[in-house]
Amino acid sequence: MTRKEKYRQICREARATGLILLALIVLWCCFGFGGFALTGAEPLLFGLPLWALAGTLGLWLTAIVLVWGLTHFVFRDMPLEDSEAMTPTTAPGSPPPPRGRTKAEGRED
Amino acid sequence: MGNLSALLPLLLFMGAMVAVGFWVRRIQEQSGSGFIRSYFIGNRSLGGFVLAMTTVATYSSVSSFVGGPGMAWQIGFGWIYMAVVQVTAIFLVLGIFGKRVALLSRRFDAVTVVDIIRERFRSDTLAALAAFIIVLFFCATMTAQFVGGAKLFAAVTGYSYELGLLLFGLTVVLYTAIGGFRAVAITDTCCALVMMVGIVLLLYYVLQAGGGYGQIMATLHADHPEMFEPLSFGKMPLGLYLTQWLLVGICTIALPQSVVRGISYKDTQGLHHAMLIGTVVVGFMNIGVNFTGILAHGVLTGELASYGGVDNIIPTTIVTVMPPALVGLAIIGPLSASISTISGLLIVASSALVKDVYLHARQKQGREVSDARLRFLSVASTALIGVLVFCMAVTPPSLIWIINMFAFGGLETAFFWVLLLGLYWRGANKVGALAAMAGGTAVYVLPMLGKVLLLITQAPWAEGFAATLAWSPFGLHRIILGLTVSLLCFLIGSRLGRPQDKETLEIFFPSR
Repeated sequence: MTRKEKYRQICREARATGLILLALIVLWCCFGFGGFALTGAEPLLFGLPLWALAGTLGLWLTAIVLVWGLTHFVFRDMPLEDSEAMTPTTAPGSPPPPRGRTKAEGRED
Repeated sequence: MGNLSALLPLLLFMGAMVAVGFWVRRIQEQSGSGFIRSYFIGNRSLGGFVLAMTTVATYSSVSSFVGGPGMAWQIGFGWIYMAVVQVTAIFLVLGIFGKRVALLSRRFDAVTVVDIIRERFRSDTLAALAAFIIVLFFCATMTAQFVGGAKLFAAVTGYSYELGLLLFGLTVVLYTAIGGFRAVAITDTCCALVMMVGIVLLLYYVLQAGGGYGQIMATLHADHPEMFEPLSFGKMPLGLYLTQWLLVGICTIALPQSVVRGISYKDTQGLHHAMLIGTVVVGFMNIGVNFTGILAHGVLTGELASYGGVDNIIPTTIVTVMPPALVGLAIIGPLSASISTISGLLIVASSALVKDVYLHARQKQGREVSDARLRFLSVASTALIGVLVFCMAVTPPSLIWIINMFAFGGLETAFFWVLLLGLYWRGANKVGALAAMAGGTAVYVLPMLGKVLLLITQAPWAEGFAATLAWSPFGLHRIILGLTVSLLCFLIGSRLGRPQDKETLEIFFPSR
């Protein structure tokens, strides 16, 4: 993968992670407050009302499933070492790839 | 008059943690790689399981084990419903910053979050400000952890507060100073496992003492119907839900002690596993410990005041339901939560001083620093910060509990936009980042200054002034105002300031 491809992929992953967060926020509202609006404090299972079950255990399990999906279908494995800096693969004549700077060079202040 | 059998398991556990510190140091000496990298980020060698555990353990503090379930005892299922938002904390920080930070840190040979901020905005002023905020807020948080752990120790074992502080305080400072980040990660993993065992153990004995699950539930339904309502008959304000989503959910992605873990893992497979494992573990802990708090209401059936406040609920529960021989095991859990947070903060605070301030200044002057000298300075500064915080905890300042949550929000305000926009928005520049960090933190800190002023003088003008400083729209938590101001500062600053130079942008946002 080139640096640009890696960056693109990371942006995709970050966006998907944010979407999962949004989904969990919406589900949290539906499971908890929605469940309470539906059946109130009436015990459903193990003496717990629907909203308490869905809003806590339910949300946790949903989060696990969503994160599993996220890491399996959106996230991709990539080498973390900067391969381009070590073995430049540019054609002769084209400018060399930009490299990381040395530490104390070119600071503005 | 203390309970000796309660002390023994603790001594063994603490001894094992120190042994891990020495063992890690031996291995690192043999491996012979660069000292700074091995001491502060463990040579980027963490696997998925350890990465998940150390992120969770650093994040879960003693208050998640003592204050939190105490509140659950009082409020009921609304409290778990609020605590469960923390299942997002681990996958968010690892998913959004994990790879970004890992790639960049390898490019710059960075070992701290401040390193990356410095490279992105090319500003030493910003880096110094970031290091200052980290050290300041971390010290406050660590002191609160020490105080919380030692109080719990005293309440449960019958030994003195000071002995507890000495026992686990010195342990954590010792193993962190000696073993560095790798020791922190391994001990964190042990701590996280022990926390989970502690929760299960306490849950079991609470159920036994309350006459079984059905019995406890019947009592709660009859005596405390409010515990089965999300707003708990008004005891749980709606605004608190919103605040908690921000404070312990979304904004935790900006905590430097969490983001730095993105620098420390070995490969992306490990990261993906860690996101999943972390979500499982953090959910288990938060639901488990708060559920135990609720069930404890079937055992401790008196008024809250008769137990001396929310913070005493869990210690009282432990002493009431556990056989004396197991009390020692039961408090290893919460104490682990405390020491694993301290160790994680201590190593980052130390790296801020040694790497971000001292070493950077030396390199800028073009002077080499020998490995032996760095080793001495790193261990010494870790130990020094630890001992300093330890001394503060011996005579804790009265505002310490406010300071703990306050510091959490302060770090989030300072770093949220700087990291998020800095790493994902090309338009972010130095002026914007500086304004966002300084402006947001200043707005966030104002009410605290008012409180300090009231400690000095009680004059009417001071009270009025403090009230003005503490004003917040709709009475919402200060972090909302801090984040808003920080974002505005960032956008305006980035608009007014010069765009970041092309070379930096090419590194952070590669076009090829």
